Amino acid sequence: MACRFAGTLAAAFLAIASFAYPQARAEDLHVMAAASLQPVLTAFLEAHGGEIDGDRLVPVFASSGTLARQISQGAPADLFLSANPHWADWLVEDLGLSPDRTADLLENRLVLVVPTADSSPRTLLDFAGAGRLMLGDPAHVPAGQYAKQALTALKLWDGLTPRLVFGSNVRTAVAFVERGEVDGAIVYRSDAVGSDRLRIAEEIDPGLHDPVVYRAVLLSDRARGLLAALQSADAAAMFRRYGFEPLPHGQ
Amino acid sequence: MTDLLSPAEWEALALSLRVAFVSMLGCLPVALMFAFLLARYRFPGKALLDGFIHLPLVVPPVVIGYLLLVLLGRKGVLGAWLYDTFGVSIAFTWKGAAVAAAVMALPLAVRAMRLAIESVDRGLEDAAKTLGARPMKVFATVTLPLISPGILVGALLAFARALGEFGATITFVSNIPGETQTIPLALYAQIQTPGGEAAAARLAGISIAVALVAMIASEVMARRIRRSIGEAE
Repeated sequence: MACRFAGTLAAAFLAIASFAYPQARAEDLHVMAAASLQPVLTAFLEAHGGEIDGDRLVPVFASSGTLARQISQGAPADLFLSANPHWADWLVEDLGLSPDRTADLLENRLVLVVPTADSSPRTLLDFAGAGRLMLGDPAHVPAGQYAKQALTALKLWDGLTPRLVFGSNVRTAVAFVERGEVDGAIVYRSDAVGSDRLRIAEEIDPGLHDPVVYRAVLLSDRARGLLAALQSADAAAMFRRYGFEPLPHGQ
Repeated sequence: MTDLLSPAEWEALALSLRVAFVSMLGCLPVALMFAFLLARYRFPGKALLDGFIHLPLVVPPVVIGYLLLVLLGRKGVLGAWLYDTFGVSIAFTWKGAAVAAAVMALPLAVRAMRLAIESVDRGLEDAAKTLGARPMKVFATVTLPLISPGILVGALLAFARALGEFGATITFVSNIPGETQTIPLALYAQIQTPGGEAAAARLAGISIAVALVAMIASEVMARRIRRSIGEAE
């Protein structure tokens, strides 16, 4: 009998406690950023104590296409950092924003990575014959779109298709290569720089695909301070450390 | 004790519990109503209603999430009207996650309650009516206590199912830390993150532990109530 009441009490306590835990607040600044920015932005937020101008920063990382779609459907967002201009422009058009609310922030490079344990020299041509290659899903992941362009230009796409694995974002591809689940992946140079469980097997010629440009979309004026902070010299140094190439301000 | 999990994991656990409790509370009355309808009445279209209620059990959860998006999203059929009239939108919020979990848990709760209602001895209810009790009193004093094991089992099943809800949740309200990132979604994110193995293992452990506790509690409570009813007869 006492047991039954104890159970109900415990349940009631848990229910109340679950509401008491810190929740999202209205003054939070939501940053929807491409998955490849996760390591560097997390470090950036930590360096700023998780706040900009007193507003708590809440980052949401996913593939740029997924984020653009969610924002279009009403997901709360103050700043959108897309790994390609395509999704940024799509969102600007979808929401009817003026083009001067965008800013090109960074550049990146595509590389072929393999697990560090695999020490033999590997190139994309090797994968044409055998081995599982992982990409971001070209339907919505910019890294996958760039990779598909490069593979198509090299005439390798059709032969590779049966052995390609698509990830929901580029960091998934990094995780799978690190674990040795796939033989290789096409990811950004910034992803390779940050990991010691994979190595760059080949740098992919930038001429084979559209330039990898990270475009920011300012969705609310409250994020102006954050955007300025991301364009500062300190931020540029941090981006360079993580393998990105910051673009000059005002581009 | 607080070092057991990272702040993000505590947040996911708190959010999971909140979503599961709210969805269970919301699901119960609806499930009870449908269970009574299906157990006690015959009407044209009954099989269709039964089919629709059980849809979340057999259809891919992503489909349910997609339907919720089409219906209740900010640009959805119902959601747009709700937003324009009341300024209320549940898409991309924990309330939306609770709705998704409640829809997915509904068939389980309905099944458990319907079974309990169907096994009630109508003779007892008739006896109460012949003694002068109004239908509401019959329900409250005779039927409800008799079906309470079924309600309890249905509630705990709904709670456990809501805790484990993934497909509909991630499709309808997406994976937003602190707002909609329940334990299954946090685990999913950690699997996709380089170096997230330890966190993923911890989250899987929590998920299994909480679900086991809920299931065992459901069994123990139901047995006690059944025993107490058995003794009363």
